[in-house]
Amino acid sequence: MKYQAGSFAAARKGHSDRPDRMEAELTRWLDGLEPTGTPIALRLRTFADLREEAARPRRRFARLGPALSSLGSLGAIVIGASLIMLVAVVGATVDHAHAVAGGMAPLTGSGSVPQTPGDFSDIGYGPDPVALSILFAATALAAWGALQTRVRRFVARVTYGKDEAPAGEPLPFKRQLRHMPRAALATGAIGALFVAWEIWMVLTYQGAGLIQPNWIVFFQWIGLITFIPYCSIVALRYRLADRSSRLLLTATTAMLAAYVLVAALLTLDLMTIYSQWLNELAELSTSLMAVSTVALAAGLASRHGGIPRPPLWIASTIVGGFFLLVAAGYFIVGMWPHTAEGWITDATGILSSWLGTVGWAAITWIGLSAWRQRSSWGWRLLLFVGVLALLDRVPGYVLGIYSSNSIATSPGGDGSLLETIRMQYFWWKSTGMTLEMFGVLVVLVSGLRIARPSLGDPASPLQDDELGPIQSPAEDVASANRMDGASNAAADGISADA
Amino acid sequence: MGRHVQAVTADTARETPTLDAFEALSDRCLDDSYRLAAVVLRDQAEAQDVVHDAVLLGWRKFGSLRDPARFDAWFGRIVLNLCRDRLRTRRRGQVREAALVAEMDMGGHDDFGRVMERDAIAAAFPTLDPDLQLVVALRFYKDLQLEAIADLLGIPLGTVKSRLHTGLKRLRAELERAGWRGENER
Repeated sequence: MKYQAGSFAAARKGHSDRPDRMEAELTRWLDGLEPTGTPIALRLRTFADLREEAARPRRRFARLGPALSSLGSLGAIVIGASLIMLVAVVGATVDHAHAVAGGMAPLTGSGSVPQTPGDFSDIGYGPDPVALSILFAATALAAWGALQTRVRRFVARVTYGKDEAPAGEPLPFKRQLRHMPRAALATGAIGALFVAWEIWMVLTYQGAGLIQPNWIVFFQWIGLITFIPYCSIVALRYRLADRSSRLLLTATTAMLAAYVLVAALLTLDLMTIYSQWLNELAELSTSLMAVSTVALAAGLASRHGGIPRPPLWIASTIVGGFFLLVAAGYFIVGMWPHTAEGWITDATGILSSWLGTVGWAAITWIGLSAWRQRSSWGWRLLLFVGVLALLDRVPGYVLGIYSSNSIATSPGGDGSLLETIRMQYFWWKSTGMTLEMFGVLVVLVSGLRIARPSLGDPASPLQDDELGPIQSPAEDVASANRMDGASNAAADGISADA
Repeated sequence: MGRHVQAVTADTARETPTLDAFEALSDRCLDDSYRLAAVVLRDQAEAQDVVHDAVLLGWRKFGSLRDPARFDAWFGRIVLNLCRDRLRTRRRGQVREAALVAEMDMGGHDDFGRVMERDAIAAAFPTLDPDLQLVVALRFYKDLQLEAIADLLGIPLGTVKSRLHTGLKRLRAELERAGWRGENER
């Protein structure tokens, strides 16, 4: 039985013979407040005013007020965080300048020429005010993007599509070979080749004495092979006619492609035909991983169909905050690339890391929402996976900022403590990523069942005759959430207006 | 209104979000909205104002409604938001009326006793926070399930449960302070 309000509610459904007197009286009292009918004057007045309102020319800049309000809140957050970071970074630099150089001159790298602010022509160490300004402006822009209705509509469109049929239940694993989708067979074959390559790679490295067999190597290896069957599992387990399944397949294929690319580059490296331009290609694997994470989040949200939109201020803070976190390491140190390729590589790196982290944050939100909605355990596991993924990544960015600051403040680079932290983080990241990939595997294998609302109770709004069975329950919930995305702002705005 | 007509109206609205479509959709919700507002606000004149305002504000924001098939829920939320705002405004100048019936003997279960009990509820209910009032009214007047309330108000299910629990607890405490005797005595 569903959770009811109290013993009277239960009694009204015939589940108890001991009604709560207060609840019974409360219900009768509320029923007694109901007016007998709608006054005709109300209808006349309302629709006359409506006609008048519709005929009135629209106010100019009507959307400016709410936009400025939300931008003001966002701006306050970003500026506050930025000031804290600015004070911390500049303060550290000034202290060090007093200690080492004995003056206020900008610190320079060992043997490098002192830089002036805004000089982008060469490598320069130290927090550059121009760089920091660009960083904060870009952060505000990223966070502002999350507030834009068009951006949110685009995300909803990518996730839910247009007039898509609801996703079907998971398919059984056990099928004859000829009934297996070709996508499952093809990706399975690629996966098998990849496993063979990995074994060869490990044996080669061991033969060359480059790695020592120990538990962490084994653990990492397990982590690396965990993702291989993702594509095949998605192709086998989920109906590919569903939009969510196609998104999941895109995600897992992009992931496989990223690792195949890394494998190819490592092989070329072993064959000593590795060159600098291949290094640029390595960035492509990061981008593919980012695409994979975003597509995974979209596919999961689409499949669930009942994930509510996060509150706007949370969404914009996360989007802006992660951008700041990811990009700060690049900007604070003020090491500007010399070439166009360098710029492209850095920009791609920032964008990929940012998108990937936001994607994991979205997956965490899906897991959290599923947990609150008491969805099946496969959905709930996503919360664990998402939190783990964020815990893997976020310390790395913080470490990056700390390293940048250390480089900026100590010309020779700071030594042992940072290295110790880096090593600890490496072990944590390796372990965390393995667990995270294993978690995703379990989620996909478990068969993410469609979260259906209960239809048993006549009070359920989905049973309302007025709504009618135009949509399936899952689609109805999805459309309700899509509607929420567009109309929450309206309702909030209305509330604020009033 | 039948499903067919509703579907046709929704289709029309989806294709051309015109004044006529909005009027047809809001006209359909007007009675329910008025009744709900009257119960929540306990004032029919204020309920009329709320419904009137909701229609005008809904028209201004109609462009942001992506799925006209969910117009009822969308409009219902606007009405409830306006009701909440009114309750909050009203609460600022509220006098604790529950104290007026304190120490009255409401032990008898005759008609007079029942009237006294309802008066006590009428005095105690407005002392609740507006958010609690909304949840309690939706549960006990509209007989909505908690999931439906969460969907309608756009808040998590856990929050609905918490508000309902707190609302009933405070109401009970207020009534007991006013002389309400025990439960399940009938």
